[in-house]
Amino acid sequence: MSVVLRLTLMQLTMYLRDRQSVFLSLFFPLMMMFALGYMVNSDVNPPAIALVGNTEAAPELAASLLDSKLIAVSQTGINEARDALRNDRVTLILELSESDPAPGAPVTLKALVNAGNPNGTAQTLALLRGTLHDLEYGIRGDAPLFSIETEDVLARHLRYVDFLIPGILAFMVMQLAIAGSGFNIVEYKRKGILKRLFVTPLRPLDFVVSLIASRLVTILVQLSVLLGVALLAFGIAIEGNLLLLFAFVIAGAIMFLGIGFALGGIASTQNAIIMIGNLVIFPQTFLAGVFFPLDALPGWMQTAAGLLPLTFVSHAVRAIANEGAGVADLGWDLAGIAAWTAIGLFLAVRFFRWSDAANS
Amino acid sequence: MPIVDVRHLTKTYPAPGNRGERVAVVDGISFSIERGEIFGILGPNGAGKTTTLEIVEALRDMDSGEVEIDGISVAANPVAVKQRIGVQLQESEYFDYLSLAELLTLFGALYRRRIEPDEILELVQLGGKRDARPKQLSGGQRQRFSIALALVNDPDVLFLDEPTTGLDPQARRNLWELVRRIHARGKTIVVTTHYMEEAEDLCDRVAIMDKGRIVALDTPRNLIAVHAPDARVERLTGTLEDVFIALTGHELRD
Repeated sequence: MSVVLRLTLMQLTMYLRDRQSVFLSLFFPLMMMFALGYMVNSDVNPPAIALVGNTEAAPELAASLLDSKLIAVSQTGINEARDALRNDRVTLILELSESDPAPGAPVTLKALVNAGNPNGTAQTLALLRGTLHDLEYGIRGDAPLFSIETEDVLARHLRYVDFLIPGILAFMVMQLAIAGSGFNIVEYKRKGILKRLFVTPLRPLDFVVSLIASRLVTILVQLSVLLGVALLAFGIAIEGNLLLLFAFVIAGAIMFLGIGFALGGIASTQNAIIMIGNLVIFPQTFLAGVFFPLDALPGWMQTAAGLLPLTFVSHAVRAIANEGAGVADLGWDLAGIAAWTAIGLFLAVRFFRWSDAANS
Repeated sequence: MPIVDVRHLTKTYPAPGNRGERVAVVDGISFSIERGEIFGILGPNGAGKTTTLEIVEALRDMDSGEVEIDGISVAANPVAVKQRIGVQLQESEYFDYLSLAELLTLFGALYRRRIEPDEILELVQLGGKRDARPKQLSGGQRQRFSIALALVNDPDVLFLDEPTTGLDPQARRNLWELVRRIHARGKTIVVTTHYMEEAEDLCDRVAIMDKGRIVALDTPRNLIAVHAPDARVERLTGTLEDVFIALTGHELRD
């Protein structure tokens, strides 16, 4: 058996025996997935309003409102309704006047709104006006002058989880790769393990290759587990080629392993690698479009965020999963990953000196 | 032909706080070790013992000089040298989550050798510990294990760097026994130590280093006769410790 293969298998053995790490490395992303996937439900519930007052006065109106699919209407007493408005359970109270209107005169509706929720109010009022217009046309029997026909171009409804899960996969790749190279290398350095290995005829390249190989195996297994859970629990669909997705995961992992080696070369103590590692991981967590789209950022920040290593991975994985992107659509991401891999390797070679590590 | 041959070996480091200036940690030393010897290197802290050893072991570069192991130049052919030597480092931990037997097998594989871990463990009196992890061993057991690891390639020369530092007297004497057993298998052994008693008891010849130079090199008996004859007269039993103090002085080294 070759030295590389033997070392790789031993690294995997060690990894499997470190039950705590195996558990945590799966637990955190799964927790993130479930917490965010269920909490941030982007299947927006229709706004709720309360209907109060004399519904007998305008039976068609009341019936049509209660029937509406766009607005959730509940009929309650005024006191209950005010309570619900105050507690944000409804965005608006629609009050019908107690007296029957004079025949032919317009029915005036009074809306009680929560001034602290202007967005919700505006949205609900717009929906309400639309519903009332439709009703009006129905009663008068004439056709509206304009109508809008909508067509869903994606032909499928993207939920937040569909956006989130590819991001979490990319995020996992970063975490596992940087921990697997940078953190471990510093540990080996500090414990004198590197020096002990350097005593033997082991070639540094063989050691690095075995470390990368074993980390790639663990990363792929963990991602497969996560992806499996995502498919089963959230029914997310992978529109594109699954092999292409994994190819990008592997490319991203190699990039982050290289960056990790560079960080491990710069840091000489466990504390230093944690600090430096977080310096690299933390901003990317929020700026690489893992948990939310980058559209909300100011322009210059978007440009900068677009160049982060994790952005390329999360964008590519998401484009493959959500849009069925092929390799031809992902040239920019591929270029970005290649560039960062080169930078990582350059820094790793520059800062990581095997003999220094062995002499420390 | 000596198995270890060191000629005019020099190693300098940048002087602390003084750019450009360099201090010699090892200052042009020469010595040779014959096959089958137990050779001791003594010296106060900072004398250059470990640096010398690590250059001979192809772990560190030298500034100038020539080191040969069994006729092979360390500078020119470090890998061939590493194949032929066994090294026990002063302090090292090992991979967590691997047992003693697994570590021995793995290190054997690094030399492209298939080994019988149980045989080596038996030799260092760790026969029942094949499935233990290094962390579970006592100080003495851990030192014996690190010697076991240094034996996986059946080396011609075994280097031991302060193998008994931090051990209690029983464990120390037990380790001397082990060194003798390994020596009896035909190995040349190079050992550094702080303990004069150890050098006197174990070593055929001893080099005393101070400030990067070798200040004396001979058998323990001759060193005592030459450098500490008075102590012998006064106490009837002059020791190598007297030689050591006579040669390196009383000043504290940290």
